[in-house]
Amino acid sequence: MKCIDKNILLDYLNDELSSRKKNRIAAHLSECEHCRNELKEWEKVLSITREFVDRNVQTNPVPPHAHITQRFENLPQKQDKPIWARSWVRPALATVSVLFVALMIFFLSPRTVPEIQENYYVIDNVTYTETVSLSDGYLDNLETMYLQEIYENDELTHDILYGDWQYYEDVLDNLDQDELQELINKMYDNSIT
Amino acid sequence: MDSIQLNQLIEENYKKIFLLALKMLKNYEDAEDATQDIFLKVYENINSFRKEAKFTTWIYRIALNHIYYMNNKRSKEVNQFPEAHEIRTQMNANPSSVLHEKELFISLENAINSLSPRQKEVFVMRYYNQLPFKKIAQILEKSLGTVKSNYFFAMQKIKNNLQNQNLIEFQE
Repeated sequence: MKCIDKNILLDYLNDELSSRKKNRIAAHLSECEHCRNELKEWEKVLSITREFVDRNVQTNPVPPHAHITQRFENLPQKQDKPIWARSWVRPALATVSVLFVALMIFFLSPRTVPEIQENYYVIDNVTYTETVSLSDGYLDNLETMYLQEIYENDELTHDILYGDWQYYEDVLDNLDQDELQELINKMYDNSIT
Repeated sequence: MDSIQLNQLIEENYKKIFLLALKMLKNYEDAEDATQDIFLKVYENINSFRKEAKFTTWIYRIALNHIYYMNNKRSKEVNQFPEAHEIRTQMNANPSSVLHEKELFISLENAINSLSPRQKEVFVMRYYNQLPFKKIAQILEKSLGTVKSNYFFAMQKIKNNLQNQNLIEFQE
């Protein structure tokens, strides 16, 4: 390590260095006589200067200044502004009221929301899935469809005819007597042909 | 800030500002007047004091402005050169050491008076006001490096002065 700069030495004496730097300088000082002497010189200069300043301060009394501090004592107390007069209150109030009005407009405006339909039904066969709304017209169609299905399906017809038809009870419950009779007649006709 | 806190701050800073004025203006009476004027300015402008700035920083800025203003005004007045501030030092009893000490202090006084205004303000704030370098940098609105280099050159001048007059022996 080369010799220490004078301004670094002054920083060292004024305790203005990081501990890492301080250690490095202390290590250098322990092995470099030149820098040690330089440091001693600066120490001397600083201590003489400090002594001089101390004497100087002691021997120059502060001029009387009671009249100055008295003025400050009579200074009107600065009171805290009431809450509505503080600088941040007005913009904050404006923002809140704008937001409030916007929300009210949003909630109170008439909206064309589709009515919630309760009668939804999911048809979930193995082959396809469909969500349908069970409007009256559709229910009619469904009934016809079931009848058609039963009518066209030999296996179903067999189930209905020979007992294993509790699964279709619901469908059959919805048929009135005449329709049921018609269905049965048709089935019989079919089985005959 | 209430008036009690304010008074405390003024009490704490009055002496420091006075010393700053004394060293910068080199004259007791001028320094006395300047300090009074500075604190009257502080009083008049206390409402414009921004809370985010430190009170002491604010006072020092007002003080330095006023001191430089006074210095300029005074230097324009013809035939009025400020005399070097007389050191009022209580001497030690030992006559030989008294002589030596007196010489030493006169030399120091001269060295301090020969500093440039920038070096001097840093020196005074460091030694008379005992402010850390960071604070001095804040007051002067300069970088820490600039303040430290002002301080270093000031100290170098003082050291050279002492050395040239053989007032302190340094081992070679």
